[in-house]
Amino acid sequence: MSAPHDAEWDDQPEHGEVTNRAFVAWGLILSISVCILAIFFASDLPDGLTHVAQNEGFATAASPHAAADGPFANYQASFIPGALGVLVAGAVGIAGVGLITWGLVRLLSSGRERRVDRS
Amino acid sequence: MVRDVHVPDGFLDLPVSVATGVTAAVAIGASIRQARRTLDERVAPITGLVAVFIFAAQWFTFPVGAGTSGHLLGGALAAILVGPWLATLVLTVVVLVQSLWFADGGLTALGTNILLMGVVGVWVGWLTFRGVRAVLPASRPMVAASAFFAGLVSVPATAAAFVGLFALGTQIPLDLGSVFTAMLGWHTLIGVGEGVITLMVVSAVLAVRPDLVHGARDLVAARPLVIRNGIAA
Repeated sequence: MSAPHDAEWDDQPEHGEVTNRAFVAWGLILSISVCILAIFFASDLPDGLTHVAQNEGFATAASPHAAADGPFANYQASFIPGALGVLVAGAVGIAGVGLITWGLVRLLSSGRERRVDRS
Repeated sequence: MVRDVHVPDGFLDLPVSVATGVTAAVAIGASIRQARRTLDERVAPITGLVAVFIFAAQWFTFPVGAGTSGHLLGGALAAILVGPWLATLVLTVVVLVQSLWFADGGLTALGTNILLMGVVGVWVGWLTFRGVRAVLPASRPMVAASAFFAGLVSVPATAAAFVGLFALGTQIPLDLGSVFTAMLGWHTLIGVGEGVITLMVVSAVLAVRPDLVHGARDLVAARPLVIRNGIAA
């Protein structure tokens, strides 16, 4: 019926009071805080790859992105100006990345459980 | 703020882009097969959280001096927290969303970015972590130290892999030796930042839920196993 017992992922952890739910909640709060801080404090400088590309003369080889006109291109909601638009884009990204990964793992593990059931 | 942080379209030619795309697809397939062998749906929320944190942390570009910044790649961190197979899938989701929704990282460079961050970064980080752990005593501070080295090594290795692809597939007349030196130099500095972030996050998770650190499972799994054997005997 159920997956083999695996103490490591139990909702009642043996090694502390922090449940999975609390862990994920605090992790989400931390991640969202990082995003908000990044809007105000992240470096404006080009990153390592961009910097080297500029110095070595191959930055101009970059062609425009096919999705450059998308509603969230360059991490800015095109329909909301300023920092709020960046925040909205960040929220969309966090929700998207989190839900897709969560769904993918659920999908892959449900297939595995069916195999376990048959055996 | 600079938000265009991945390999764009146009850096690599079509044959190399196709080759990296095929290699990335094979790696994703292998990761799915391997991850399924040990996967449990209870890891879904934690794995989702790792993806969210890497996406968020990649926003936070930090200055590394002389007009350059760096940001977390996250491959080593993901590998230590959820294991290398799932880590490749986590980085694949992050890179796909960044490229398709936020126009960061070219569409023709998707395979390249997945291969560099999700395979090279993950596996160099994981193997460095395992290697350093093997020579250090088995304790939580040593796990954190190994995480630092994993992050540190993974970034210049990823940069070197990029230059390798560049050597194979660019039409731009360049001094590749100079590109290699510059990429490796800057990304070693960025690697220090990657190592520090990886160490801090792994230490924080070890402090509250050591059982959620895949790369430290041996430290927490030992005790319950001994007890259960005792009961069974």
